[in-house]
Parts: sequence; C-alpha cells; structure tokens
Amino acid sequence: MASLSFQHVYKKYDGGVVAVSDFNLEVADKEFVILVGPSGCGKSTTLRMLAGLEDISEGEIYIEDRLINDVLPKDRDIAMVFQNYALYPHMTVRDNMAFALKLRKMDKAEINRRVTEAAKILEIEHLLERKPKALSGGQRQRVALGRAIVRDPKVFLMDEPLSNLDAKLRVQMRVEITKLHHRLKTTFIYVTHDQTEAMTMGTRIVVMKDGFIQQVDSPTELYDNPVNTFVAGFIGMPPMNFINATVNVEGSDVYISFENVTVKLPERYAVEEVMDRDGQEVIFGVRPEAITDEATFVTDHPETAFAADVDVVEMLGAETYLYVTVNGSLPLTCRVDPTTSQSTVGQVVDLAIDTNRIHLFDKDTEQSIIS
Amino acid sequence: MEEIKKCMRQAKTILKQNVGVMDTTGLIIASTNSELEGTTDSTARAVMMSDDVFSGTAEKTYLKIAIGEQYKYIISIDEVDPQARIYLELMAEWIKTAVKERGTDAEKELFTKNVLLENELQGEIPIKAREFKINCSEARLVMVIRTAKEDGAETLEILQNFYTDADQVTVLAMDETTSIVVLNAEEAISSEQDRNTFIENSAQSILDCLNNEGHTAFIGVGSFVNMFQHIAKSYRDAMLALRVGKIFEKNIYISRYDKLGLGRLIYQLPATLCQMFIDEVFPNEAYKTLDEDTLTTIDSFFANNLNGSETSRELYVHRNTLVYRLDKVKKNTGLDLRSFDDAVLFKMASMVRIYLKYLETSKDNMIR
Repeated sequence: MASLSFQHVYKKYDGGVVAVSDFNLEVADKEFVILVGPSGCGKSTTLRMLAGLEDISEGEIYIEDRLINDVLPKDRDIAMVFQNYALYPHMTVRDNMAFALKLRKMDKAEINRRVTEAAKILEIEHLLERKPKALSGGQRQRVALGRAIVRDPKVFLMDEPLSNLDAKLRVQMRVEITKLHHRLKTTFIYVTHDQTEAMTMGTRIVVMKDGFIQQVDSPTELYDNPVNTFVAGFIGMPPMNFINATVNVEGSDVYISFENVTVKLPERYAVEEVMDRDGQEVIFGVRPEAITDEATFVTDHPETAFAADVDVVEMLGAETYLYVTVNGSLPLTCRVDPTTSQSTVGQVVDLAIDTNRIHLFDKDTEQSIIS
Repeated sequence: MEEIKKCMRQAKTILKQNVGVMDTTGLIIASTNSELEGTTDSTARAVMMSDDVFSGTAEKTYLKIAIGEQYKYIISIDEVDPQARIYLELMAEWIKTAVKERGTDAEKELFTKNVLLENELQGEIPIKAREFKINCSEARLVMVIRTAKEDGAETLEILQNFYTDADQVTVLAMDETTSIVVLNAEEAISSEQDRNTFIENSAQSILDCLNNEGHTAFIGVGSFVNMFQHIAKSYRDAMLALRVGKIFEKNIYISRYDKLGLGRLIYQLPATLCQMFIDEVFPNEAYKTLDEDTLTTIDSFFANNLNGSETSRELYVHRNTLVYRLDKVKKNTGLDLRSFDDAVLFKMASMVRIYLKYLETSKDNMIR
C-alpha cells in the first residue's frame, strides 16, 4: 500500500522525441488509477518509468516519500502484469507463482504461504499443479496476477493486461480485477487504450495524448465535463457528435446554429464566455444519448428540435443507434430507447437535443468554453 | 543440482515412498518431499563410515552413489523391505545418467558458444554437432539479450527456466551482461509472415518475461539461417542490430537486423566519410542553428510523412507556425523539407550526425 507522486516527469529521447511531457500526478494510497489514451500517447512509457524499466529524463517519482528515480526495478516494491502472460511453460502454476520469490531466496514456508494465499484470492487453488498449456486464457491471466500478488507489492502496475483475451472474457476479467483491487486494498496503476476498461475500472482516469496529460478526473466527470474535444471524443462509445456551429445572442438568450437548425441553449450558457462569441464559430458537442426521437420529448422541446434522414438503424437490444443525416450533409449518431423508438431506415425523423447535456468547445484551441 | 532435483520431481509422480538425495555431509539437496530440501539427515555420517554401499535404519534404507571413483551422494528411501533396495539401485542409475548428461550439456554449450564465436572449423561443425545430437539442417535464429551487470546471472536463470527444451532452444551466457538464445526456427522459415510472427512473439515473450522479474533488457534479433553451421552469422547480425538499434532508436527494446534500414548502412561508413558528408550538407555547422522546437517540428514532420496538416495538429501549432519553422530550416540549412529530395538528404544527414555523436561519446568506440 502506497501513495505515488509524479513531479514534472519527462521522457525525452536523443533526437528530440519527447514521449512524456511534464507529467504531474498524485496518486493516493489504495487508489485505482487508469492511464488511457491512443497508442503512442506515452501511457506505457510513464508506467515503465514508474517500474524502473525506463530512465526518467527529468522530474521525480516518489513511492510514499521515497524518491525512486535511481532505485533498481526489483527494489521498488512493485509488481507488473503485462499483456503477454510470460508464464514459464514447463512449470506448474504453483512453481510459476513461486519463481520470483525463489529467485529472491525467500524462505520456502513463506513462499508456500504466499502462493496458497494468492491462489485462494484468485480461486485457482485447483489449478496449482497444472501447467500453463492446460489453462484457458482467463486462467493464465489469473496466474499472471497471482505472480504479482505473491510479491506483496506496494503498487500493482498493469500494462494492457486484458488485451490478449476475447471480448467476453475481457468483461469477466475486468470485474475480477476490480474485485481484486477491493480485496487487496493496494494501489493499482493500470494502462489501457480501451476507454470502456478505463471507465468501468478506475477510481480516477488520466487521459493522455502525445505525451501530455489532457485531463485527470473520475469517470463520471470525464464523461460529463470533458476539458477538450480530444477527451470528449475519446471517452464514450459511440463517440460524441462534434458539429461546427455558430453562436447567436439575442438579448439574454443564446442560440447555436448549424445546417439550418437553431437550438436555444439553457440559461447557464448566458455567460460572458459564450455571449462574447456572438457570431463566432464554435464546436458544438452532443453525446449520442442527448439526441432523442422520443415523441413527447420532441413535442415538449420545440426550441431544440430538428428533422433528419435516418441512414442506418442498429438494434443492440438494450439500446438502438440511429445514424442520421441533417440537411443532407451533417452526419449524427443518436442513441435512442428501443422500446419507444419507431424510426426506420429512409424515414425523415423528428429529433430533439437535451441541451442540459451539451458541450461547447473553442474552434481553435478545442478547449471547453464553459468548465 | 538441478538435474538431480529434476529426477526427484519425476520420481515423485512414480513412487509412493519418499526419496531423497543428500551430499556426503547429509545435506538434503533434492527430495520428493521438497520441504525436506535444505535440511540435514544425521544418519549420513554413519552411512559414509559403513563398508557396505547399502545401510539402513528402522525407517529408511540408504545407498551411496559413486560418481567416478568417489562417493558423491547418498540416496535414501522411506522403506526398509528388499523392494526398497531395488528402487534405490534404479534411482542411483537414473541420477548417474542425469549427472553425466549434465556434463554433456556443458560440453554442448561450450561447443555452441564456439560456433557462435567462429572458433570452430566449418568442416568440423557437422561432425561435432552429431556427437551432441544437434540437427544441423534445421533453421535457427539467434537473439542477443543485454541486461544490467547486476542482473546477468539472474537473467540466465530466468531464460533457462523459460526455455527448457534443449533440443529447440539453447540458452547461454556470453558475459555478465549478455545472454544468447539460439532458437530452432524450422516452423517459421516457410513464409515472411511466419518469420515476422516468430520474431515478434519470441522477442516480446523474452522481454516481458525479464521485465516481469524487474530486469530491463535490450534484445538484438539476428537473421534466420538455414544451417546450424551458420549461427555465427545470425549472432553477428543480432549484435549489430543491438548496437545500431541503440544508436538510432533509443525508445525501442527489440532491435531487428532486418529492420535496421539506413542505420545499418550508416553504421558501416567510416567516420571521416561521415564528417565529410555532414560538412557538405550542413556547411558552417548550420545544423547547430536549429533550436529544439525546430528539431521537434522536423521529427514530427518526418514522422507524419511530410504532411503539414497532420504535423501542425500533432504539435498543437498553427499551420502558419509550421510553415515559418520549415522556412527557417530552409534559410539556415538550404534544405526545403517539403521537397522529397531535400527531406531525404536531411534525414540521412541527421542520422549521420547521431552516429558521429555516438562515436564521440561511446567508449566502445575505443575498441572498434
């Protein structure tokens, strides 16, 4: 159990490539923090710097109050789990879990105690005498987790540990790892490119792009209040709709116009940051679930209603995605309720936007206009 | 001792009784009951003093094992009936064979090392290989693994435990920081795709395995060779990949010989020629007039295949800023990076500069 502190951490390579820039993050004890971002954003490099597998070009990393910049990886009291399980093929599960401890010349009785305890936590006691080839993908991943648990580390580091699993197993293991975090009450740092994993597992999420932290927040805050278009587009599936729109101010009312559609914004948008942009272009962000075809809502909100052509309808059971085009040119994605939606392909459908769940971004900086 | 422990592990699955092997002082070095390993059997002294090879107590039967002329081990079984003696004799033969094989393994390892270092005559390699039951006609691939000095011994132990099938993989240490893995690549030789997958999977597994145990490692991957006699070439290529990879691509841990590209060419050029080239491309050290922002811009511009829009987006700069920086490069160096020919020249000159810088700073260079 330990807190972590990254202070102005940089990773620079000769030739000018900067993989991580000014990374600042405080991680509390027992937190489950997710580093998420597209490939090449620096998330794995950050994790590897914490693990000691990569040198730190500038800045400082602390585990609790101990500066670990120059501490050897094996002396950092951390354990890593990778995408590749890297199990020793000829060893039994028991021996695989015990191997790292044997390397450290730990007392046999203590090794046995730790292996038995970890196996119990992971519910793999019945697999202890099996070899990796006799295990399923999920079971192998549990063994890999077991190898980390037996080290009794202060911090668990996981680098895309579920990427090798099929979709169904990934969902199952997601839950298992979350449970494991609750059970072990240890700090977890988890790297993934999958925003669903990030949203479902982390207590806090660090969104990264091109080596820079974009936003650090809880899953709900990231979803509801993204600081820029990158975060807004990266978090959420289907992604947020981004519309080039113009701000119009009439008295104390603020309107947003795009493709012959004018939407009246709620009162909270009648603030200086928005009013000053009268006549200017902004990026109007709307989550798919904030556009509905529900008749009552459309009738009750004529100030946000518009018509669109339905191109594709995707029925997913619990929800339906409508892919529509406004004015023949603006494609939008809507997530609607399948129990009320009557929309069919080729139909012109009336839609309305729930303006309590919209976002405005600056056209040039792509930063959120209202925080 | 590992070979004796291996015998015990296998015996555990066959015998019901507990069997242990101790040295002549009674220290149990291997047992079917692993908890007894490391403990001492006080009867050993009496067994060693006995004239008979077999000895016994109320619960156990003992047999002394001679390796060569000397008694080296005592084997015991938790049984006292006549059957116990038969078991012990069988076990003793098994252990002797294992110990002998271990000796052969060491010779085989030395032979492989000599082949890698080209210390064996080409004509003799197939003959000696036959003695060690090495199939010369199978394809192989050599990987060189470089770790920190303090991790060397542990790295070897990890790799030896990761690859246990000696017919398929040979793991050996060249020095305290360098381990070698010679992989049988017969399964991968048929197609380019298979070769790629084989390299990616094998190298990544090794890297993850070592990282998992807290070791930083750099891996050089050589070229595929069709015959065992040619593994020295694969080894040379792997060493070159490791060296060149570390010069030109600092952020990668696996360097493949077949992916070295321009780096391989530049690495083989003499320093004087490189310096002449730099002086011609960047007269009056024009390169030094480029600030860090501009160099980052150039890297990004190349990484985005000379696409200005992508570069400005990636760098969060306005397109006009990018144009301004590229114009500055043109003014200072005479090279317009928007033109493909100039971009190629600049790229090559940059790599040559990196190489020259490496030559200046590298102590290894003193040896080269």
